[in-house]
Amino acid sequence: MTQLEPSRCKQLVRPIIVIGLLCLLDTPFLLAQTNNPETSTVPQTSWGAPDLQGVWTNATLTPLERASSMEGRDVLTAEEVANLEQAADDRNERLLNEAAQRTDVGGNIGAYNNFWMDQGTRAVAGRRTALIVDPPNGQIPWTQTGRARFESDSARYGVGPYNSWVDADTGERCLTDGLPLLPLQGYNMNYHILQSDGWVAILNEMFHEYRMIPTDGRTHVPSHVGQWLGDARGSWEGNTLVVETKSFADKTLDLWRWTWRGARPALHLVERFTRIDTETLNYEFTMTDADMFTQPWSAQVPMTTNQESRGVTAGPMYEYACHEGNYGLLNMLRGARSEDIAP
Amino acid sequence: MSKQTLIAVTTFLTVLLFILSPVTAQESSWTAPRTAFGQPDLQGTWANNNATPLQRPEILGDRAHLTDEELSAIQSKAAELFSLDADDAAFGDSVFTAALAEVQNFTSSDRATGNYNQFWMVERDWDNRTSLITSPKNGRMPDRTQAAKMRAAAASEKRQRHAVWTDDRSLGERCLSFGAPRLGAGYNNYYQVLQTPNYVVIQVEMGHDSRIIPLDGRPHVDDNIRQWLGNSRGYWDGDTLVVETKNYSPYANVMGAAENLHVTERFTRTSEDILQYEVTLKDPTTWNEPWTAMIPLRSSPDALFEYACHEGNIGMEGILAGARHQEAEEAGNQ
Repeated sequence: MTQLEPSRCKQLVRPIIVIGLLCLLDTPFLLAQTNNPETSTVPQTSWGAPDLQGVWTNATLTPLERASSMEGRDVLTAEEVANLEQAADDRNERLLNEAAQRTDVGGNIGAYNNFWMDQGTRAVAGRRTALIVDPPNGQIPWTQTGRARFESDSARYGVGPYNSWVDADTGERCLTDGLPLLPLQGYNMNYHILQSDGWVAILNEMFHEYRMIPTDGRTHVPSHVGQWLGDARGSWEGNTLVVETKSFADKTLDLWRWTWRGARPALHLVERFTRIDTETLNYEFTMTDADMFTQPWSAQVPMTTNQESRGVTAGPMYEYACHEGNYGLLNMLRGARSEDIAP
Repeated sequence: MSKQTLIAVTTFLTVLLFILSPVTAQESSWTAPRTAFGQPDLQGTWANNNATPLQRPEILGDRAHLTDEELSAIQSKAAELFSLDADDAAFGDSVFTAALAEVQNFTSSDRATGNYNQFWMVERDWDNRTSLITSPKNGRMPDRTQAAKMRAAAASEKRQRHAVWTDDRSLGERCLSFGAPRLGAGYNNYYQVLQTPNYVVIQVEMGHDSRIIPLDGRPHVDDNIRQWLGNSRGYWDGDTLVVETKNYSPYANVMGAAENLHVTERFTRTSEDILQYEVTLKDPTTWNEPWTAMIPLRSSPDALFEYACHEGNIGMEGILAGARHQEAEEAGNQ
């Protein structure tokens, strides 16, 4: 095993709100079972299951939904991708070299600076214009109810009112951003997968949030046992780990920045993890919720153990500190009370 | 049955119980099952619902074990004290100590508002041991250093003050960390162990926390990297999983120890149903000598669920609102 050398330790601040701690080491993480890639591109565990273990990132430039400017186009040209990736590199370089500025009292205080972000600067393979693959237009197929809720949540996020901490979104409150695994928040988009015979553990760096997923055929818990991350059961279909999650708690009174990820009993989630070579894991999910979506919808989000190939920091994961440093929430509430007095 | 026969039978049963007790089970010829990759298989859900107190009550002196009669009397008293769901909840050592002291009524730590009630607590497992601590021999934590005593006094004084903000309260009340190792019993003391060739995952129900511990011989992280649960590295010593943990955050609180704490945990499966958990805590800035506890973790058929703490922490709001109310009252009285 290669000697690990600490390189840097970044403190991450979720826009205005949350303090995260991400300390990364600069040695690429070594997988448990990838010693002999020549004999098999899909490593197996010693008990004969496909080996999905490692620290994976899904960071990418490719957006979840297709931009309106790309309407009718499934893929970008090679030149378009090269230009986008170059622009992302240039932007990071420019912001890194830009002098820090003190914000003025009163106006927009801004958010994190780019130093803390780890967005990813590369498009996913295939040059797709969206991570969503179904429906073919690359858009979330909202029902009227779903769209209304999404628009209402979007109007509240980052705006308020802030009468209590429960008015902030679940991520700002350091609870969770919900499922599935998506590269949306701009940093900490790393997942450590571990397996034993009968279980898969997935630790999400964001929120230090983990799932323990049985793959031994046991039944789901009764539907009234609602949990924030639902109740997950895994099974193997060939080389694919299929995880079915239901029994989400009813948290629809809470504000979710990404409405479709909110915990609610009607949500049914199927995730499919397929390792296609030593450094690539195809992750695909399908969300079903007849209240919110006119049809089930699916996205393909390839993950890699080669963080550098996506332009993000490489290394293992550390504790994510959120709640303990969440002075942003205190300040938001204090600011709102101050505005109450002097509008 | 004559008195002599009764004594003989009791003695026989005592000896039998002693032989069968989990404490001595590791000396049997039982061998732990193996995982597909050849490690001793420690996997499963394990519970610490032991009634045995961490520290031996001083009244028991150097007696490491109770007689069966004594144990039976304490169990009966505990059953009587904690029979109703409406009774005050007894966490940690308090089930044993209250029953031993034959108190008339049990009240939990917060005399002003009470505490959880017993409905939330588990049924305890009993054995003849009088303390989880096996070293020092008196079954009690070693004396604290002068510096540790001063820290404890300052923390105690802080607890008496009105909480100005959340960070005046404990890490547990703030839903930040319930620490590792966890030694107390009675409430969410369930652990799930998952093994891979290069890692062991220990999930803790309390706080929905998890440690992912590398077993591949890599060194600890740089001393400057500090975490609530420290930085753990594991290895196999025969059939025993050994986990060394250091790099605790200076803000951590493991029974008064923090950044200088070094923990050695030893997990040995001694029978189908018992995972023997031995933990040694060493911190010369907190205790005058290292100390060791042994907790028999029992296999449980129960599943672990999400632990909801922070999202329902209305108690914290109540504590702060109460403190503001008291301040207003005191200001009015002057």
